[in-house]
Amino acid sequence: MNVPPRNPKKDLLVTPNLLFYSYFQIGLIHTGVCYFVLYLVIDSYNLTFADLARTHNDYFTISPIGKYTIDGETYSVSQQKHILAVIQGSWFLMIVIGQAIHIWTCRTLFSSIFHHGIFSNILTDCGVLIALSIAIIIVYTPGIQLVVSAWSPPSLIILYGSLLSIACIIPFTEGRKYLLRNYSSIWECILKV
Amino acid sequence: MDPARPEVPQAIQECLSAGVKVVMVTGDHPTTAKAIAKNIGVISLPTKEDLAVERGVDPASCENDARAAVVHGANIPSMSDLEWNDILNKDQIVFARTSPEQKLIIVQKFAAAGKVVAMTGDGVNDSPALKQAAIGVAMGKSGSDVAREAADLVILDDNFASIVVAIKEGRLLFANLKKSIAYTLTHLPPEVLPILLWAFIGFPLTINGVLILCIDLLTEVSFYYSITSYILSYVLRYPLRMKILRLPL
Repeated sequence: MNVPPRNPKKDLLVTPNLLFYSYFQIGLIHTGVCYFVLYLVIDSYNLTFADLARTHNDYFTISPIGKYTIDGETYSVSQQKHILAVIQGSWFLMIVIGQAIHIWTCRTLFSSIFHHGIFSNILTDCGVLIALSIAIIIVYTPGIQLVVSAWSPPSLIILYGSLLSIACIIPFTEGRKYLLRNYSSIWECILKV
Repeated sequence: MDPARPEVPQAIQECLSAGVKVVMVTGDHPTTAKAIAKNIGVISLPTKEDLAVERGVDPASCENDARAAVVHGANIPSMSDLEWNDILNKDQIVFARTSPEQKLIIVQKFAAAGKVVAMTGDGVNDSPALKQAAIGVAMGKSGSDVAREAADLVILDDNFASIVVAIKEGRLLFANLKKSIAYTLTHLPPEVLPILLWAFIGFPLTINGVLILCIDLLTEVSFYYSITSYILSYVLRYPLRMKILRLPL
């Protein structure tokens, strides 16, 4: 209550800065973490990004046309389906985990979440638990895996992805809030959503 | 002179700290109105009359120095645009001995100056101004039916401090909507980019349509219902109806 009322002509609900924050700041962090996990997954099968490029019509689909051979390694039809399912399962999990981490930080847009209290809203905690439970059920339950075409990725890879997500999202959001609090005259035009 | 409610000065201070300019419009005599305004904190700066007494000069010569003004309703119809401009630029304003027509003019002048005007009132004679204001606020207990009909907002306990609560709720709602939108949009890039890469460089689809639906219809829903502190405060007010996932009205 110590700030002036919003200017109805300028302070709109959805602003270019808000879209920039969602799509090009946090959205790209989510995407980057997803690609990091993707790299770890395909690396565990001795594949690289270049190996997978231009394969979408014939290989690594839900119905590959046949065996895929690259750099002396051959991947059978079932292996390709399995790799694709693991890729999709890990990508899905990383989006949900990224959002679970983001929801704690985006409850404040100006003050530090550590000052506000990370676990201060019990409904957020419950919501995160429910969402993670749903995601785990979808990816790790055998019958559902077939329906959604997603397979459980190695837990260690998901752990690395989660740690990277925490290491990126929390310092980034806290950093931008710190700049807004202390150097608002310089950063407000870019960072204020 | 009836004393103001004890919570009113605090509420006015909160309005001032929130950048809300409080203007008193009353049918009382200017002297009474000024005394009440000083008592509750609407006026804390000297008016031109105060400065004139202090300096021993004519009040008209202190017009520009005074940051507060008490305007007699009888002067309102004859005031020029320049005079209105001077009055509206004062930090603290009291309009005394005003008629319903003059209240309407006051609201119109503030609106014309680009202000968002919230007008409080309870009588039938306040109704035109309540209707004209961007936010007409009527008193629920003592207010007339006509005033309540004309108003956008009815204060059920007739307490000015409730307006401050309404401002807080409005700001909280706006901020929470912003946070919700900022949160909601962030999961779109990792959903859309794989499809773009699939289309342009032939990379295998790293997420399929069913999983995108699982995110949008299952996991995100539990996040949405839990994101804001508004929901928490709502639940705390109605603990017996506490539900983690509560369907919208």
